[in-house]
Amino acid sequence: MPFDLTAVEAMAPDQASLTAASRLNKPAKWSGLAHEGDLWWGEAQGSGANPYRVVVDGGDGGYKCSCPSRKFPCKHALALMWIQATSPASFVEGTRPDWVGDWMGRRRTTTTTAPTTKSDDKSISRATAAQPPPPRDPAAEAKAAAAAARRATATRATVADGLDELDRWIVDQTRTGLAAFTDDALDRCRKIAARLVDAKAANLASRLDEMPSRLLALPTEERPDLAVRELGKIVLLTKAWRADPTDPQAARDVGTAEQRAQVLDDPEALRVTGRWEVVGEQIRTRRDNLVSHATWLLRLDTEAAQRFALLLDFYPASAGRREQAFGAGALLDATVVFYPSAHPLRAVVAARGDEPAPVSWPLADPDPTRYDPLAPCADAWAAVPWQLEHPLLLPAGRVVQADGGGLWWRADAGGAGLPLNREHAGNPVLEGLALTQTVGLWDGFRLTLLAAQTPFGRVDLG
Amino acid sequence: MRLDETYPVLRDCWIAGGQAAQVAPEEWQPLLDADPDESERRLLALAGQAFEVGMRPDLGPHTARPPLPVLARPPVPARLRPLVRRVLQAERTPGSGGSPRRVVALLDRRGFTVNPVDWFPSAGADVPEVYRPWQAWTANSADPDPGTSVDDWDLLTRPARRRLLRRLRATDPAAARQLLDDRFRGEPAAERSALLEVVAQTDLSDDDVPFLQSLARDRSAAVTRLALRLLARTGAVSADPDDVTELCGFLAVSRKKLSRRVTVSAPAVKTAAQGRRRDELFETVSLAELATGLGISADELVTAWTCTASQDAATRALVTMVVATGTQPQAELLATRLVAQEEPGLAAPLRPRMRPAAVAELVSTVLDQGIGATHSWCHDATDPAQIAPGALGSAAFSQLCEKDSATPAEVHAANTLALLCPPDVAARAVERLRAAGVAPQYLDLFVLSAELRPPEGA
Repeated sequence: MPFDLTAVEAMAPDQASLTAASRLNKPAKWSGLAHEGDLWWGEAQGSGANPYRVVVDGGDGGYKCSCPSRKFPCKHALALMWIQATSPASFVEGTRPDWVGDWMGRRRTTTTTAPTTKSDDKSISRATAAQPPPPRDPAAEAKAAAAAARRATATRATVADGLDELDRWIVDQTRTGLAAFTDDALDRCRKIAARLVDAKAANLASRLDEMPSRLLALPTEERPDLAVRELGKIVLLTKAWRADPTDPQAARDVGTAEQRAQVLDDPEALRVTGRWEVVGEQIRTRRDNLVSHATWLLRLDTEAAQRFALLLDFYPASAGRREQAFGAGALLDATVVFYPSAHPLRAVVAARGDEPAPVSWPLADPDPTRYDPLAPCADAWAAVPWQLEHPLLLPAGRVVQADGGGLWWRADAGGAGLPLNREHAGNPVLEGLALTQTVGLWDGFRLTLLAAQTPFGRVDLG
Repeated sequence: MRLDETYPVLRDCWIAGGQAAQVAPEEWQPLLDADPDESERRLLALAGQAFEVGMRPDLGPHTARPPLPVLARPPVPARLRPLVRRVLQAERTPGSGGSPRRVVALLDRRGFTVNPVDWFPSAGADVPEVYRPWQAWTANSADPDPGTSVDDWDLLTRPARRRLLRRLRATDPAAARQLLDDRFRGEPAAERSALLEVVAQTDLSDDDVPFLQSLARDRSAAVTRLALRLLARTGAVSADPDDVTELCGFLAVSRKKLSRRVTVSAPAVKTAAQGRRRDELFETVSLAELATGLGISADELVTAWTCTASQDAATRALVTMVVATGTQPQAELLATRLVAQEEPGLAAPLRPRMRPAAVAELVSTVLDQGIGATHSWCHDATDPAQIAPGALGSAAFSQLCEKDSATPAEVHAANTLALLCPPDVAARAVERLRAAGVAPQYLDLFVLSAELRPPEGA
């Protein structure tokens, strides 16, 4: 049963949802629009780094969207029904993907279709009516601009005060000894993080809050080294912010990140269109009860320097694990827009085509006589010296057991090596794999393997 | 001053606590500040950056394992790997009662192997022969050739030894007996028991009697018990006549007056101790001896056994007795009777003693009894009988079509059905189940089975 606009109008929870849906009622804002019988699905780019997956069932009006909206149906589901009602040709005939099949299986007993409500306070015509632009009022605009500038100045002053306090705290740690700091890091970091939250330095606060977990992941003898590195990086970040509080990377790492729309609207933002592969995902629950979901992309169709992109999403831990559109191993032809930075890494997907055919990873041929696996980090070290993790595309190598204990990745050429994160210790197969190419994350102390090409094919190691 | 000398001095100063500016290298002094606190922060930034940029981890002495051997059969196609991973995950789910081993066996039957990152056999696991090189790799031992001889015994992993014995029992029983004579006593108790189980699953002859008799004084009680039961199967030993009489006392034989049909039943015991004693006697007395004690033939005993819910424990004990001391036709007869009485779960232990054709014959009956019955009959089978398309009309498949929720245990039971399907039947099952709208978790193994066509040239 196809949808019609009357049904869409009736199902909308309120006029605001209809109006929001009308703005999404353009196939260009969607990717992967397809249908199988009465099942219609697609992916809508929302405010997160990953698109939302939306499916509607024309048979009984059921729907599902992976967005966090509390409105049912949300604007994405309404928009999908709307597109189906007005331009069904936008959907190609296809076989339901796993995520649609999964929803179909679960909803048989747990999902019930929301009751439709017809009322006079919502209508399609009002939702689509062109909103007349508000009359210009130069005086009001100037007033608003002045107020925004005042707020920005006040925020910077608050942040600066917070960073002054952080400066003093850092010196206190070295003065009283890093041995004591590493023993009591949980409590000390939590306190200074709380002060930084008050000072509107949210991301820097979170970074300090997570420092103890990074410390505890290392053996005791290496913890002072990590403390020196991390505190030193924080000093560099605070100095960069003081030197130019408008520097986007420093402002983002101290305060809050830009909205996705701001990044997409930024004409100077780096845009890279190409073929990408999802080489790994990392899901971490932070101490502030937010889940950080990192999706690492590797650009495949380039012979130039390797290019990684990081899609980063956050959501409350209480919301449970959220399904992401891009699973490890997925391939996509996409335009990726990077957040402004001297060394761009974090990004959002702006547009996406159909899933392309598999291609091989770009070559990473080292010079065997002087191979340095960390050489690709040089640009990042110079441009954003406070960056914590560096993605690496490593050449042919093996995982070996160091006589002193622990697993290492070792290059076949030259024999240079990097110690592996201890989470890899329980995998007996790793030592037997000839890794023709490997993608990993270097955090300054340990390498976390994400994926590799092997004689047994591509394998996920994260 | 070199960085690897400078950095430790600064770090050690901070570890103890104090101002490090005074121990900073001369070259760094111009970068410091008059304010001591600011100097410390700058030093921290310099030291941290220098540590990251200028120093490299030193691998030092290390050990590299040999590369994992490439197996004789191709890995499952890349497009099917996510499906294989999902199915293996479902079989591993706690509470499902599942076993990845049977999925691995399915891939093996279709000519494929699992990607080692998705599943890897432990050194002692009983897995298909094709994984032998990986087990040898895990055990750090040489990879035995499939045509290996008894001379290679010391080089073999334990599963490989059991496979060698099984092969020899089927092809050259005399060589198998010689192997047991030479090597059996050198094995630890658990392995002796496992090797004797291999012998128990094959036909016994009078030639096996001397070896089995030699085990009557084995150091392991489990080995001795099993050896005695195998001897009883050959008729070489007899139970104590008092035990036979006592066991007969636990059973009731009645004969219908007109038809003269005999029925044997096990009246309820009065105490748990009596029940334990009865089970013990079923383990020491052979089927033939019990039948003689009851005044009927062994075949008659199997045919006359009455299986009711109240005497499940006695039926289970009889099954154990028949597995150990009955003949193959008697095992098949009892299995048929139990399945006919809708007790396939009780009959399941008899399966290894049955001919494949007899097992296949019973599968169609079991399918008509539903998913639960099918699951209890062959959930642990790594090489279950393959069914014909007509079986899709059975009660088991009809029940599956009605499933509107998926628990791990239910998915495991559905997977048992999927494992019975050859590719073409699995493909038809997928169509039917999709049309019925069953949860996708139920479909995974059917889809995998349908997609797994033997590789070209295999």
